[in-house]
Amino acid sequence: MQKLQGIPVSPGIAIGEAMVMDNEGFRIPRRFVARDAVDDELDRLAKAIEAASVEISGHRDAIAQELGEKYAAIFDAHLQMLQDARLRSELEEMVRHRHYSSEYAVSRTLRHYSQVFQRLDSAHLAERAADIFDIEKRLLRHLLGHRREGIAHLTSPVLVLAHNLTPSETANLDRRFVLGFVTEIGGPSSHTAIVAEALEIPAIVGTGPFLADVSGGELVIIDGNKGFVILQPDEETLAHYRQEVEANRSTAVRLEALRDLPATTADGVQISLYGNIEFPYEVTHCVDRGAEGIGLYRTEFLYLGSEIEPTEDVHYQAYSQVLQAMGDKPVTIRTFDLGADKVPHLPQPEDERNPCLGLRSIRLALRHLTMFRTQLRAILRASVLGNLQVMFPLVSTLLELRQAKMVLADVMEDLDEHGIEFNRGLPVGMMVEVPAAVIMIDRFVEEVDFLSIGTNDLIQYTLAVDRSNKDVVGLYNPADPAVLRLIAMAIDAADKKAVPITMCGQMSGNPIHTMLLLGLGLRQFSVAPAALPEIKNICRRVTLAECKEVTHRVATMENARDITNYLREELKRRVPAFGNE
Amino acid sequence: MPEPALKRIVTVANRAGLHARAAVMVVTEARKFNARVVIAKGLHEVEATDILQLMSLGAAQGEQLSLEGSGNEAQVAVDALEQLFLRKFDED
Repeated sequence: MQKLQGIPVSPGIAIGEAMVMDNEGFRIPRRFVARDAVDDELDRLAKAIEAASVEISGHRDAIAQELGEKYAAIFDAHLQMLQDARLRSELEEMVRHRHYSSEYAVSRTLRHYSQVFQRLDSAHLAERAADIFDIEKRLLRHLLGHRREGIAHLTSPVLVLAHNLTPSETANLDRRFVLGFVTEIGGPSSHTAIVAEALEIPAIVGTGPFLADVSGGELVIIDGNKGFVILQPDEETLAHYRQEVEANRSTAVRLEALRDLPATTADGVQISLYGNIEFPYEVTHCVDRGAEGIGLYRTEFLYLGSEIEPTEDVHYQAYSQVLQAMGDKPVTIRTFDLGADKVPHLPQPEDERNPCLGLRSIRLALRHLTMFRTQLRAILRASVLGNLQVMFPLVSTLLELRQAKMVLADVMEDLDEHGIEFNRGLPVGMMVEVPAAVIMIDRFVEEVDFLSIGTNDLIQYTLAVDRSNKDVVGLYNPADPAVLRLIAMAIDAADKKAVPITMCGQMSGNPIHTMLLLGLGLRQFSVAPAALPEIKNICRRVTLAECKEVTHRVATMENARDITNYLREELKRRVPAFGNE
Repeated sequence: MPEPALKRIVTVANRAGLHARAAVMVVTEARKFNARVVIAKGLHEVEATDILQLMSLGAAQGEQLSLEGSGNEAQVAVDALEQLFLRKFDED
């Protein structure tokens, strides 16, 4: 048994078989054959090479006939490579002397070659690494039969362990079979975290290096509540976690009963609960839990999943899918919230030494207007399909807000000229996540239709803490009195002008903060779909008078730790079911 | 007494360099003769009949390679291979 600690980024517990992904995809488990089985293994290897050769020749002939010899040439190359005498002897040596399984020998040897090719200076030649992968895949398919895995073609549930996962890897995985993620690097805002939350599976990032000890196929437990990864657990640990999984399941069943009940406080105040989503399929998660709408539809995945800029139609398809599923319920789309360093098709910024303070979000949008306009056109076109509103992220000055609105007005004019329908009265809001915006909030409320507090960035910028930095992460706390004062300011200013205000950061989905936020005057929460039942449960069990008391008490406290402890105690006292975490 | 080695310098003229298809042509040609041809880029030497090794030379457009033949048909083998390079592997 080996126990690792990482940063928990998506709650829950998963128990299952490990699948290791490395830089080139999934890793073939390191398996060995018994000494007396070596001859059989060599025979198996020879048969696989033979079968793969026959297959390639078949392709070759078919392509030659259909398109001409020139196009068939690549298969000649594959055939030559496959039958390369040196490759053959390297493979056989690994099986004969090191007792590697054929699969492992193939994977090791061909990856060695592909690495050699990838290191070549010439781009044309480096691309040939793809040919090697192709041969590897072909051989493995013959060796493994239908057992060939690959993250996109899983056939049984696995826990994915990786150094890091790229957005396209996470986007292309088969959701039915991935039970959890662990990555060696990454922080709370990494893409893995967002995807895991969307999939509602546990995830842990930033464990540090450990994959060298895992070959794949071992039993693993991911504790996404506490951030533990347990490799090859002992019986006792396994039994403990099985029990916990069972308990969670029955809690979930109890909470499901709340689905169709209103989120009204015990003293009759109406609260609105919305869901945060990133992918269109998450709409189901929200609807199933009785969300009144989508309070935050993040659009970054549209940019991260591919090397090329998404077209207007790609945007439109995604948006219309969400709007159609939500009917007349409100959907708030946030325009892209990305750093220039994350967008593959944009020029890499030169001075981005400090991305959090750099060219990102609305700043990036206003710098790359064509890209921004493409997204706004799609949003406007989709606005006739349902109850849509749009908001801009990371607004820090009035000028930025006005510029963004001007671009929107300009795109509207453009659509008008082309006779394309859109909702002229599309509500326009902004994220409140930069302290400067809170300080100037009385001016901002004059110019927006709604506000949404993004706590992750607001906390980071207020407290000057990067929460993926383990040396200072202890300073990152949503309950810090300075943060709470800013939140109170924003809510008060919005109330004064009757501008609707929501909170969509992680803070709003954490039950510890629910009473406090209600006491501060928040009436709209937008949370990860999985958190909806819990938050609703709390809303229904408390009175506003109680919440205000909590808020007054908190206002007298001086530090985040005291406040958090107090809030935890209060929650335990009023809503006992959630006190046992 | 082995035949004296026969050496020729060629330039990779085709745009894509010594990539898979070109390497196949080299291998196929080299196997036709009763000769051993070693292709070298600097100090990196490989057999002309070994496709993976050939490709791992990473010979890109404009680079010079040496062809060194030995055996009965060394002369014709080196000539034939040189022709491939001169013909730019029928590309461009």
